Amino acid sequence: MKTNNPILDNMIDVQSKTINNWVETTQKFQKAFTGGSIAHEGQNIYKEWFDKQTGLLNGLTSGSTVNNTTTTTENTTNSFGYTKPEEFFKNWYTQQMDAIKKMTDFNQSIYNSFSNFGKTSNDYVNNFTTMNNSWTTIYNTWINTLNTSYETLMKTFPTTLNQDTFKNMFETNKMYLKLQEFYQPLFKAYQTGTFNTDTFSTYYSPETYKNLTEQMFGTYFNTLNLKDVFDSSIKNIHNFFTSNNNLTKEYYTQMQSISTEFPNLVSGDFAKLSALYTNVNNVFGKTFEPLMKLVTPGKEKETVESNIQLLDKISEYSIRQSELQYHFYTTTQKAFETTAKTAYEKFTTTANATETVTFTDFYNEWLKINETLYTDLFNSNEFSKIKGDVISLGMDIKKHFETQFETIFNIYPVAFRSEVDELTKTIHDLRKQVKNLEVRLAANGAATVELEDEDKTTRRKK
Amino acid sequence: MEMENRMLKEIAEVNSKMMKGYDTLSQINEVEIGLTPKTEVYAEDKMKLYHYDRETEAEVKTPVLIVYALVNTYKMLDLQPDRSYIKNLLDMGLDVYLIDWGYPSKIDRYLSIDDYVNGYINNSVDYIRKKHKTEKVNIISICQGGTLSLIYSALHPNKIKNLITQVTPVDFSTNDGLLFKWSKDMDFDKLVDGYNGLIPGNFLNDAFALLKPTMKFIKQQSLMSSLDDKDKLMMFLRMEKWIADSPDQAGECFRQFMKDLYQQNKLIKGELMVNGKKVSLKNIKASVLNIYASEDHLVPPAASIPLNENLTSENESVCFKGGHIGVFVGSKSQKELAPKVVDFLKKRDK
Repeated sequence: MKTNNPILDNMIDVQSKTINNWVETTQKFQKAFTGGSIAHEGQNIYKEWFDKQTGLLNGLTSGSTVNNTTTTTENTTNSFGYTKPEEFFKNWYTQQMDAIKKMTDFNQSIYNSFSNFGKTSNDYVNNFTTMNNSWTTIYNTWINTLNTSYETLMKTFPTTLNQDTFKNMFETNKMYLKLQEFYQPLFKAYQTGTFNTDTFSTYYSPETYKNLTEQMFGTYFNTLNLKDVFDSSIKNIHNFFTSNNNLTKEYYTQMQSISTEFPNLVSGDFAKLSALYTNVNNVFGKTFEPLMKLVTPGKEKETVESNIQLLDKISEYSIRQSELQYHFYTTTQKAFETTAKTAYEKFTTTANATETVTFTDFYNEWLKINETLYTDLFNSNEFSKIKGDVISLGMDIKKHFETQFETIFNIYPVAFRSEVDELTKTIHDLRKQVKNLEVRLAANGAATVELEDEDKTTRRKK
Repeated sequence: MEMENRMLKEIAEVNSKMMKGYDTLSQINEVEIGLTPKTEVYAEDKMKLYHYDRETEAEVKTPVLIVYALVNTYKMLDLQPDRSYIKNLLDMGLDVYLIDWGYPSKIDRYLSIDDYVNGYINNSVDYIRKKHKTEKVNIISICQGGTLSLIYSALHPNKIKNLITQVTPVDFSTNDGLLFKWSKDMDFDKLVDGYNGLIPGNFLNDAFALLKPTMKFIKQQSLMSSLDDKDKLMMFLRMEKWIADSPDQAGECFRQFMKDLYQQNKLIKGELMVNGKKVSLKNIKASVLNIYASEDHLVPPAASIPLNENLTSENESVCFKGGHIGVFVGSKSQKELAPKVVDFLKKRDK
């Protein structure tokens, strides 16, 4: 698949050749092993692989250097801060080369182990399995790096539409890869004939379904951070009662202390009297000073009551939101399991099915099943009711915040939304009246009246 | 092992397509839609009335006013030169005007159905009537624009000669479509007040996206396989541009439309009141062509079909194969929809 960019073409080429090289090598190895000639051919197979990989690595490095100096691009400086895509790709190459080097070093060590003959056949098989699993791990790391880099790539697009389009493509790709990872154990089970329709679901934890659901329906999981709101409201209420209690407590303690001192007041001991006066003054200040703040009497109490109401609404909303999300999660789980069973029947019972089936076939099956199950969910009365409730409760909380905001800040000289809304309504009604009058005037053919310019009037008077 | 190797190759192929996607998308500087030439002839608040340019004289003398829905924009009707319903109508001899509703802001929160119907639509109709010195005009309407046009035609029966309603909801009692079902459980007063009188376009887009849960993934597959086909890619991008362009909705109109129509189905029952006047479909004098789409998941056929039995004027009903949008942008419909509509109007252009 050619692009207009030689650097991209080089990258695609290297990636394809890397994969092909690996696939060919594993096939050769398998053939040698089953043919009983592994002892003779094993070393050659890996040496051949290693040489090819080194060649690709060098080609990638030198190709990028050559292309960086000769490639021109139509992309110039854009609002996202990148001058040319090649600048980004230089960094990207460095990351890829590190990953490829790790793969190469790892396989070098495997190659070295095959230079020791006399190992049992089990050792070869075990080593091969270990090697293959490790290769997959390293390759997946490479792919993850690729995907991380793509996020940065999004900043190089000339328009928001292109950026959003690529972002959607990227997110879908991520999900495609995620699904591949999820279904790996199942594919192994299909191939080895150990798949069990009753017990396979034990491979997966609820976290699996949760992550997948949130990737598919992110909008329904990006609710306002109610925990912060909840914590903040609790803190406000706690502070209010604590501060009141403390005031009360301290005042009470001091008054108790004063009452025990009372017999001494009339003894003529002015030092004690002075000390007593100071104590009373201090307690008075501490008790009543907060009340001297520029807050309307009862404001704190109103705020606390409002916070309590808010907590009630948040609790109710959280419960309903959880119910809604539960339906999403369980449907994802059902789709997951249905796909596994359907795919097992479809892809393993036809002749040579495992030889020809691709993950894309499986992915399409998964999409079809999800469409059916989620459509059934959305058509249910229960879902409709919960969805309606969640939206209503969310709006209640939103409105509550706005009302509380206006209450708290109403001492400031700003026009609040509710006041502006009143004005908007007045403007709308007046505008309508004016339009109606204009229509009537036009219909009645009334003469227009010219208003004289004040200056002209003034000049005429002169 | 073979399956694992195949899967590795598939990963590589997908990533290659991603790189190709990046390369192609970064080369495209601008995507434009709604380019058929037109002139703004009248404006009121944020509403604009356009007159499409004609090089030759119109074959159908009675001018046509296109009334689109308040949701999304009219530009889907003029996506690209070879997928333009408007261009097809022009090429077949119609003299076309179009209302562009614009993008409501907070100042518009109190606009009601009355404002849209007896204000903007009526004033546009009067402008065209005066300009062409004609008593009546034709209306071609789409989706919610059709519902508003039906209300208008019922309240101003002497101003409309022919009315074309396309994928228009009239009977909201059905639960065939998810929007119809969900709306029965929504508190629209809370919604409108919660959004302070301006319903965000994204709120509606999110709801529409749920109607086909996996469509966004299927679309991406289609995109990935179209990266080498520039025409297909550009068509995809134009549709994406139109989908993303979703104006906010004026709260009072939205409130009344959802409560009186979606929830209480007042229009078909003859109970809808607009500016103190009862709206009766039986008052419509215009000849009506009611077009609906067989696989419409937004406005199911059950919501459109009942229109005809509630009219006393001459009327016809036609089913087009396709979806809500496909009826206008599908390749097949380019040769079928406009001819059907123009033929209906030509026969009644006296």
